[in-house]
Amino acid sequence: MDFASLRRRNKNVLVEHAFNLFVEPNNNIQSNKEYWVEKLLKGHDVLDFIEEIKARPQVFEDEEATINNIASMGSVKSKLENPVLDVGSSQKIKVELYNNSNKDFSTSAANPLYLAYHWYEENGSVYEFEGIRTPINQTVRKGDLVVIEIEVRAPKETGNYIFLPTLVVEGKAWLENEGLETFSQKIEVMAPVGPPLTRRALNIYNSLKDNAAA
Amino acid sequence: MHIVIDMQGAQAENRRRGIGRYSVALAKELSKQAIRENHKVSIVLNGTFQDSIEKIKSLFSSIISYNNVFVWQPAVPCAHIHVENNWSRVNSEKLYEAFLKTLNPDVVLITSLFEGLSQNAITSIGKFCDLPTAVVLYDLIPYIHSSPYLDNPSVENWYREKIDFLKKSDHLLAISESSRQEAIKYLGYSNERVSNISTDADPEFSIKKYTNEDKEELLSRYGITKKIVLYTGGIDYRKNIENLIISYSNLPDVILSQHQMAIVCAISPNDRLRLQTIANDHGLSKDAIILTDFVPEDDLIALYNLCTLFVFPSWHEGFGLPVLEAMRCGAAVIGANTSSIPEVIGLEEALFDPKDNDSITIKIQQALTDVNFQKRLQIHAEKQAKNFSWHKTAKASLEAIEKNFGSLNLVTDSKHFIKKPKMAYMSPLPPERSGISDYSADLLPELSKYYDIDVVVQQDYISTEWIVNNCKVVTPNDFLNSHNLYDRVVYHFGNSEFHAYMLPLIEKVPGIVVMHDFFLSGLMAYNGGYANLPFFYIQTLYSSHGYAAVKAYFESDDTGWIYPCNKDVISNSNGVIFHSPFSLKLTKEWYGDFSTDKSQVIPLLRVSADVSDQRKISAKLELGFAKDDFLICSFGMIGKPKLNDLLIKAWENSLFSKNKNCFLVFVGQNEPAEYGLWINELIKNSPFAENIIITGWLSEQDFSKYLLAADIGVQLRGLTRGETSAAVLDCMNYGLPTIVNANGSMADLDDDAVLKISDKFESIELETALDTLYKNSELRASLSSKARQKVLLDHSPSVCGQSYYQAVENFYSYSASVHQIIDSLDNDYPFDTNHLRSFASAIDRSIPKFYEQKQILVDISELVNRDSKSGIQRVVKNVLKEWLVKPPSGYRVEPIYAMPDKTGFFYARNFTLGFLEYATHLLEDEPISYRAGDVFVGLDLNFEVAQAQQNFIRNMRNSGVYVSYIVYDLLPIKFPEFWPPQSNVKKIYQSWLEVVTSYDSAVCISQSVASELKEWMNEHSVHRETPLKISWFHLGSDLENSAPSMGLPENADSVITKLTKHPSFLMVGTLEPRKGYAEVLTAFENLWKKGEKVNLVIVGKKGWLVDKLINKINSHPKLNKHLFWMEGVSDEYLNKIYKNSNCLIAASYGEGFGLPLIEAANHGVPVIARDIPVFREVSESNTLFFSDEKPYNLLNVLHDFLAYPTAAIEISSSQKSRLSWEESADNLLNALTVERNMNE
Repeated sequence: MDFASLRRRNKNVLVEHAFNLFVEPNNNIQSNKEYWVEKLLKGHDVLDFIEEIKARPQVFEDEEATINNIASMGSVKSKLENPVLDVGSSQKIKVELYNNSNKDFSTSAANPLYLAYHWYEENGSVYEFEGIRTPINQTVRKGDLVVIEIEVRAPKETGNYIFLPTLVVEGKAWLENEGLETFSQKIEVMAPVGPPLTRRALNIYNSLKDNAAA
Repeated sequence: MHIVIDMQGAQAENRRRGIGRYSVALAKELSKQAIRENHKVSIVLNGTFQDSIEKIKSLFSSIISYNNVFVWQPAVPCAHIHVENNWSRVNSEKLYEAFLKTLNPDVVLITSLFEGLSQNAITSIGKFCDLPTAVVLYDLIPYIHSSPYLDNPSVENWYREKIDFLKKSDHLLAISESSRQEAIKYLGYSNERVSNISTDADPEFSIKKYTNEDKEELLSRYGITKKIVLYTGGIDYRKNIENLIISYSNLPDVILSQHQMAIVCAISPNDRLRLQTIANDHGLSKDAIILTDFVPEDDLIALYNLCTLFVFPSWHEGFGLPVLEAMRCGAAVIGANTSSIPEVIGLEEALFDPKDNDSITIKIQQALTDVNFQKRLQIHAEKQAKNFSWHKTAKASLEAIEKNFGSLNLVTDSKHFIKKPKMAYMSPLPPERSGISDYSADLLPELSKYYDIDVVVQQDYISTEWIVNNCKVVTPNDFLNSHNLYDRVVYHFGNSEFHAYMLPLIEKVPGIVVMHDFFLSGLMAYNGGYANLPFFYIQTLYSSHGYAAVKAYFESDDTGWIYPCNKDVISNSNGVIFHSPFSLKLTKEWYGDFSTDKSQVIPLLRVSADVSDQRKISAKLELGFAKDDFLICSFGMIGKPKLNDLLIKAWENSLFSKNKNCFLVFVGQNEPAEYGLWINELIKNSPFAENIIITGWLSEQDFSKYLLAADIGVQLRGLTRGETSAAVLDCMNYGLPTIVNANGSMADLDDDAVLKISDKFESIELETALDTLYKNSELRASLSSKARQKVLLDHSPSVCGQSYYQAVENFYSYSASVHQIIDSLDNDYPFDTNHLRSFASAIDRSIPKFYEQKQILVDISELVNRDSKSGIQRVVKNVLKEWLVKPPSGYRVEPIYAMPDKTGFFYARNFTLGFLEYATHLLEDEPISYRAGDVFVGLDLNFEVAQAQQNFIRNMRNSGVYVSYIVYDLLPIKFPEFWPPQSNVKKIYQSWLEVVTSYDSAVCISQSVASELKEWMNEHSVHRETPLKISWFHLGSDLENSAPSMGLPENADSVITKLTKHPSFLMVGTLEPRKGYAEVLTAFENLWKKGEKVNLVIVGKKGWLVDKLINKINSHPKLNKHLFWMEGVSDEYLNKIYKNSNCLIAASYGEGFGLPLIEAANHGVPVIARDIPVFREVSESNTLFFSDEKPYNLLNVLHDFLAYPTAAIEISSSQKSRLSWEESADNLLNALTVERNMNE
């Protein structure tokens, strides 16, 4: 099962559950559910969805148009689960790339579109703007959501940073300025001592840090 | 009782000193005696002292199970002497105690409290919790004589802190009466709180005979030429050596001329000079005093045996072990009349005043000149020494422990509570439509007798007045912000969305979990959607059961019914409460090693129903029935698992249906899907349709009315996920005679309280049960009354409330959760991220999760990096595939990898998903987490990784992971000439072998390799604490399971035609010198020369050191006529070639296994093989062997084969059982897990 199918399957489960819980049987019909699956796949907020079906479970045809009009050209989001990198290390980080524009996303000579990133310091000042470029070696069509590994080099000093993956059209524009939705992620850059921390140790480390800060 | 012994005394600063030896000797003998008395003993070790762990484990291996050896880890560095370690030290002290608490000890015995000044040892008492503790007290010398011992402020600071801990010890085990009295005098201990356990010397110290030669050799080595006056025991302020030398110098010359004083101990250059100066100043000759410096133990024993007199002038000792050692060796002993020495020597006339030099001189002179006195001393020494033994010491210790700690019940924190402990209680509450909300409404008033309760809920409104009036209502967010205000936390988990809010809470704040449903699959599936975590469900499945469950997710629609999704919830808990023994059974089935002390069964609670005939009639009338109508009710939602269809059919055939006044009532909602529609059809088409009713969803009030009105209950289940059968309990509570089938938790019901039919019953069985109840009113009455009694007895709110209290307090008595440690953090000292990082890692290593499955960690570092399609990788892939699909019970299989330039292993999740042909990004690779009980298997061959990760693997092993490597062969060591000299293959391989044989076991791919490995081990006399376990398994050979490659070249047919024309001999394998191609080609040239029409077919790619051979083949006149060489053929083509060959030749000089022999057997092709052990081992009766010796050389064997073709046919028809990869992988697994279990 590929990523997109799996995502669809999960949305189906969610919608099915939500309808069973919150929607009267006469509105619990397949077309209504399909409508919401599509809407959630496009990034509609889940809590809003539940509130909306509680309030008004039936679907109005004209809503479809409204959603598309307000939608962004897509999004890039880091999938890094443990936000800790070793100082100066080169890493492959997975990002989720969603195309909601009318053009395909892919890198070619004619279309120098790359995944890239910025590093910011905690106070918001730029640490490294021109992150390594990773070409998109596949065609990401409108509506597709894919996960791609990008090359990232961690900052050379330890500390807390903000990581912002994005798209760049080389020589033209950073697409976060053109309607691309981006998500920043706090990442701690540490001096490597001993073996890497397990997921549990990392959670403990973060709690210790929070406790110390408090 | 559970005695937990801290063994850092044998690991840290004192490990090579008397204290280290004392710790080991006492712990060993005490453990033996305690286990004999049915106590449980655990040993705890500090993981920082890597090198000591294997040794100590081996010392206890015959006494204590490996499962009872626990290794914990402080944050390092934490030695006291460096101020920058303060943060790590003080917090590691808390961690140390938290770790000990998790072992649920009745007593912790610290064999040496005064550790950790300069090394990473941590001992503390009362920093995190109050644990019942006993400490071995050696002496209080620095406390009593603070100068000079505590002149150094760093040392003083450390010592005084330890004294503060010592004062908190519940009991002291003093090593002498003198030390005992010091504890009473200086620390204010009462008589009862200190016991004298005394001590013993090592058994090596004994009377021995020495030959004159040995004697002379030894004495001359130390420059001793005269009779010996001996002292040993260190050079220290209180040892009084200066006065000993002066007193000795005062002896008459005649005595001095016949004796030398040997001072036997390590000595610094300064001390040497100082003592020599004293001797010189007092007129002693240069050789009168011998300062030996450190001597080996054997020499010391000899000196004890050979001395004329042993003198011990120390004025303060804890015990004075050298005195006992000397007596054990039969020496005449005199010593000081102070501190512990008199009780050790035990003879008044052997004592002197250590502060009075004349007294010392007189006593020495008497002992050296008065023959009778000397004799008396010797006779006494032998007798007195018998008063000391480890047996007596351990016995005294055990008696003290039993007396002072044995009668303690569970030490529960609740004893510290002045008022009721504060409890956070998570559960849906009325009016939420969940059975658990009603349950909680009944339970809360009972629990409030023991706890001050806040309910943590995610609902806007609570309809139960009592809860609103008596409990504070807290939101999940507020709870997270204030969780440290709560002493107790309880989570009620069911399988509905009402419990989703608890998932993030329990991850952060563990608590007692009440499992109303065992699987929780619905909750997890819902949560994935609700929390917008698309992979949550699959990740939970993986986390619960590994890749087998992931596979089921993709290949089955019923994953939720097959695999429970509850492991993360259980792991994050402090204890689990089930409502039925069935759920406990499920836990054992799914998580075999889940220990019962982690869970408790508390029956579901029921408020006794108010039942009377009058109320029954009223209920019937109110529900629209006549008072004489007879109602058979089945309660709960209609659905396939409830077997409602079977009930309809059985009812139709029963006597009830013949009676117009009898009704079958399904009290609950019909399923709005396929099954529900079918039930409607069944009822519609029934001849008794009028008497079958489905009530639809009912309010709680109407539901109760049906319970009241019913005459018989029937509750059936076909599938269960371990949920508690509340409806059955309702039936019993209302006194209904109830029919159940023995499914899930219903099987646990008392046979006299319900009418139980088989789990998988036939319809007739249910019909009979119905008819029995129809006819037998006495049985109905009896079932009714027994059911009511049962509910009253076991399910009453007060009984359940009390059981809850006991269970919760029991679980909390030995839980130490990570968040408690974090909450108690001491941040007074400076720290940085490295301190935090090390501490995080230490907590992770030391505080186990509540439950974790054992893992088989399969190192596939090479395969993750690249698939070189080698024979070894074929094995790796086949074994891995089998293990992933069919993991062994009680283990999860986790492929892992490491890199040569980065410490540590990682879970190879991306690779494994790809290997199983699923989307690789569903799971993330991450650093592995390992625990005692796991098994590490080096399945892949990667020299660099094995070398680079040695330290990491050793740490794993110290923590209790069983480490095993697969050894494929020893060819590079046996035949280095077959590899290019510059490849250095022998050296690399040897280093690899040295590393992998330093662990627990090696599993070889054949018996021959196992023998070779044993030989190699003998030749290399590898030092190990315990022997390496060497075992073997055979490889699989089923091609269909190995994903065979396909494809035929264009000339395939013409080649095959040529092969069929004449007898064809096949050779398979890379062209390299070891395979013996050159020798075979020469033999065939001989045959061809003699006019034999035979084909030699070589299938294999070009290897190394074969340029000459390749040239010869390529320019050979027989090429493509009788000589064929095919490089890189597909499995499909190779199969064809096998089928058309008459014989396989296996001419290798050495192999690990010899797969072509098995393949030939699979094709029914006879084999001519070189006579080497591994070919003998794997061959079948289809094999002829050749060697270098005539008449069995290759040419002769070929002649024989060609001369008797019928014999070839005969031998080819024989069959021996060959292994599939499934069997092979199973055998390997058995070898590993059986060995691992034996290790335990």
